[in-house]
Amino acid sequence: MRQDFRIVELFLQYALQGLKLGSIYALIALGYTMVYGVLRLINFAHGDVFMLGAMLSIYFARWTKLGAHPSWISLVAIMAMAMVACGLIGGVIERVAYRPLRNAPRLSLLITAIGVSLFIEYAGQLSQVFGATPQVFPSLVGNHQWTIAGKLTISTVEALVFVVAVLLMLVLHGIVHHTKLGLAMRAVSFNFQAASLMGVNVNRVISFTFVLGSALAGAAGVLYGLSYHSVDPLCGFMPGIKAFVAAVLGGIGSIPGALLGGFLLGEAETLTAGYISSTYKDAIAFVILIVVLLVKPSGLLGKRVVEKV
Amino acid sequence: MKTLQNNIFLFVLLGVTLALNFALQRWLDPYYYKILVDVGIAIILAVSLNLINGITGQFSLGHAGFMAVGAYVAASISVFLVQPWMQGAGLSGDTNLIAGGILVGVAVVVGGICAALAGLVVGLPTLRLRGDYLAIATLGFGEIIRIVILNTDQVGGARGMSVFPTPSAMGGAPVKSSFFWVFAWMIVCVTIVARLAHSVKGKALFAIREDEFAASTIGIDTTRYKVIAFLTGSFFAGIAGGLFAHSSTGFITPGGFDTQKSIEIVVMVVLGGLGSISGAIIAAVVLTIMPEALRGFSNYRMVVYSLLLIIVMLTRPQGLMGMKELRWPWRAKAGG
Amino acid sequence: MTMDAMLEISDCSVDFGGLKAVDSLDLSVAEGEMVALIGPNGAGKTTVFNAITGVYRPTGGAIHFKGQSLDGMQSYRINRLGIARTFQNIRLFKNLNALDNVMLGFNSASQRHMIGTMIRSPESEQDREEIVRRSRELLDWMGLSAASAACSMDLPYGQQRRLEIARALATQPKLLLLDEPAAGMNTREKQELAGLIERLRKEFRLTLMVIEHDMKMVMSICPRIIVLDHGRKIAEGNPSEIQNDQTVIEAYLGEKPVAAA
Ligand SMILES: Nc1ncnc2c1ncn2[C@@H]1O[C@H](COP(=O)(O)OP(=O)(O)OP(=O)(O)O)[C@@H](O)[C@H]1O
Ligand SMILES: [Mg+2]
Repeated sequence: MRQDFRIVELFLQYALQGLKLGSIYALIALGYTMVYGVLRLINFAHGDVFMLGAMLSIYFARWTKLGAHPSWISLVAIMAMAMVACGLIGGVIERVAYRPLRNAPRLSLLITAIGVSLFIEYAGQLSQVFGATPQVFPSLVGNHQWTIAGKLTISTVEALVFVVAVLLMLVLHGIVHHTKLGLAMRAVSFNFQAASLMGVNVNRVISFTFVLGSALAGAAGVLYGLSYHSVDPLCGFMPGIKAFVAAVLGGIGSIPGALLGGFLLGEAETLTAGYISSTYKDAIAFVILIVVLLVKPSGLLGKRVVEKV
Repeated sequence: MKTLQNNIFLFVLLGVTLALNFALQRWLDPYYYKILVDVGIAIILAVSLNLINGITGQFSLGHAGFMAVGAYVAASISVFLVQPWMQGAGLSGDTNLIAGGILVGVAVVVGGICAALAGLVVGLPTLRLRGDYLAIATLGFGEIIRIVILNTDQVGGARGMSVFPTPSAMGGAPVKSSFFWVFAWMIVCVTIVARLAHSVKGKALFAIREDEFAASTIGIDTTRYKVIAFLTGSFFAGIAGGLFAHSSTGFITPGGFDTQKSIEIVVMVVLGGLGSISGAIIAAVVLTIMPEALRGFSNYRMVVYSLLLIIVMLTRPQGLMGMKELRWPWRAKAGG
Repeated sequence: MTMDAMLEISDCSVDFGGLKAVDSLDLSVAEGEMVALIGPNGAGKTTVFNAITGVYRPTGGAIHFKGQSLDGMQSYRINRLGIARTFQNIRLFKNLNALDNVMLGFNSASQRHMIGTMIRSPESEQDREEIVRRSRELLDWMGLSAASAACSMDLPYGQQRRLEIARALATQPKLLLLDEPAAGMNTREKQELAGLIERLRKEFRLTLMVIEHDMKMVMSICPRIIVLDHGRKIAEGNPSEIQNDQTVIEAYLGEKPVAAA
């Protein structure tokens, strides 16, 4: 009896961890899904924008000295700065690297995205920039441990990550479904040409999408830093790829799908790490990806599209 | 007989390589010898990836995974089968260059075959995927391969695997991938890929890249050709891996076959011009020698690569050579 | 079921998530016939071709070619049975030259194995020469011999359309489906094309199905016309019958005036 209880407890503890990781994936996945929706591009650099969110926050906290005074205000301020900075960076990347290729083959776009991703990662590793060694992320907010039931604990950060992810998703949902720009975004992702014929300023919509998605990645970066404490210029690559997997799992182009996919992937990874082996944790995402692509390429919540000939 | 005549050039080339081998081993500084071997391996990697990414247009980001399969299989054969046997028979790689070379050759071929099988396993399910989805799926497969190796203790896991035993244990210098083996494989690889791509049937690979769907409506079994491209490409990636495992340091780690390695090969193919074999060769040569020449700037290597990638895509998306090929001047007209 | 029908489409439907692009269509084409498929924009004409060539799976009904069901068959197999097509929005292999485009049509006919070409066996060289010769012949037929080395993307529009026909012919089809072959051509080019199609039909013993918006051209070359609207067949008959058919006139007026050249 006692034993059974432990097993359940352990499982729940893993599940909570998974929820935290999943929330971060979900936030990154939102950006992928939106950009993929309007441009049909896997923005490889998205994971690196996420990394920049985490990395820059360290510097923001240092410059503003907010890192030394953990409080909710520090947190909100740093997160706002990270979101603005990442939003700008995302917008600039789109403007400089992707827009000139609007009519080029999609492969050129993909390669450029890979180039941008590499550039951010390796320029970031230069000693003149961030340097290659991991840096400690300041604890921006007091981290309490609450005991919920028995030995089951949850920390402020864990709760925070989850709440922020859901909140931001709701905001995004609101923007996409209740503003004019959101409507234009949906029009562009439905049919690029038709939207531009109907007078939608496609370039503006795409820029906006990048800014929005990158801002979310920036927020995810801060949450990541709070959760895992250590950040380096390469720390965005894998989470980025995995968040893309999450977006595919949930159904690319679907906002709730990105959230669902993120949570599921986060759970799958922590449970694999907990019950099988932490080294196989990284493989599970790819196994899921391949299975989804083979069994249901449109993902859990995505719509099936027939390629028009 | 006629067939033989048609290939005479090839045999001459192999002969020259063999002759050069002895000359180079004798007179060339080991440092430059090593770079030469690295260049040969890079060419095999770039040309074989070009078959998949450039010629057939199936953008793969998992080439290093196949290279890893070849490297680890070949290394395992050397370490667990060949070396004990040679020791038992009282042979040393030093005194029996020919025997040793052939045994390493066999190990490398088996590595290539295993990589090809892995290519088949990857190719079959991912064939339906297009463009960026395929890129991510192959990246995923490459990572899975790497993680599996990482978790296989028999081949050293994360610590890596030493292919060459300590000289004392072997009694003499171990057998390495010599200039001859590497360049012979390079010649075979380039020849096969070039002839495949420009044969009547193999042109179908270009057709798939240009318009897969139109290709299928003119009777081209696109799946079959994509499998052929994946099989051939991953076979040579495996060969390159096996040669690499037996070159210079003779030490391999799973980390050496990660996504970054795959991307490095992609950079070669893209800069050379997707679909151009000579472009891939030139890019492989330049991108292997350049970092050596710029040793002091090694931190900037990947920064330069990435900028090159972006700038090339923005200004000359067809790469250095586009789809064009350099030909032997005396064959420029023949179109071979 | 008509006994000597070469192509038999029965009760065929193609849905796109609620939209019935083709709706319970019955249609048959006899060997040697030349049939036009017309209808307003979005009537479902191209979708019919796509269903025949295995691009889209019909959601209902059946398609038989020479008595054989095409159900679930892949496009390349359908082509090998003897059905070739062109595309409304030209789909050439853009970066390959004209000769290569046509040679690719012979791909499945080439008997040589890859290994042979790999070692440059004399047989494979002969095979190549033979295919080059036949491809040039086809280019000649289409009046493209001067263009054979040109990158297909750089050819003028009219030549691209003809090159696409040459590529389709290289697969030695019995049934050729042409999707708006005259689109974008001027009157003179259209006349030439009409003559060319007629000659091809005789020379290669083709059965033809043509989608065309130019009524004058359709009426002049096709003895039988099938009219589609909203995925349904609304009329079928010879040119004069169609011209005077009230439902046809309404279908077109409901959309936009007929583009009578
Ligand atoms: N892959 C697809 N997905 C969704 N709808 C499609 C698809 N293909 C065609 N349709 C729709 O099916 C209908 C019929 O299209 P089709 O292309 O067959 O028309 P058509 O008669 O060839 O018209 P046109 O004269 O303009 O070429 C149209 O409403 C079109 O939008
Ligand atoms: Mg049409």
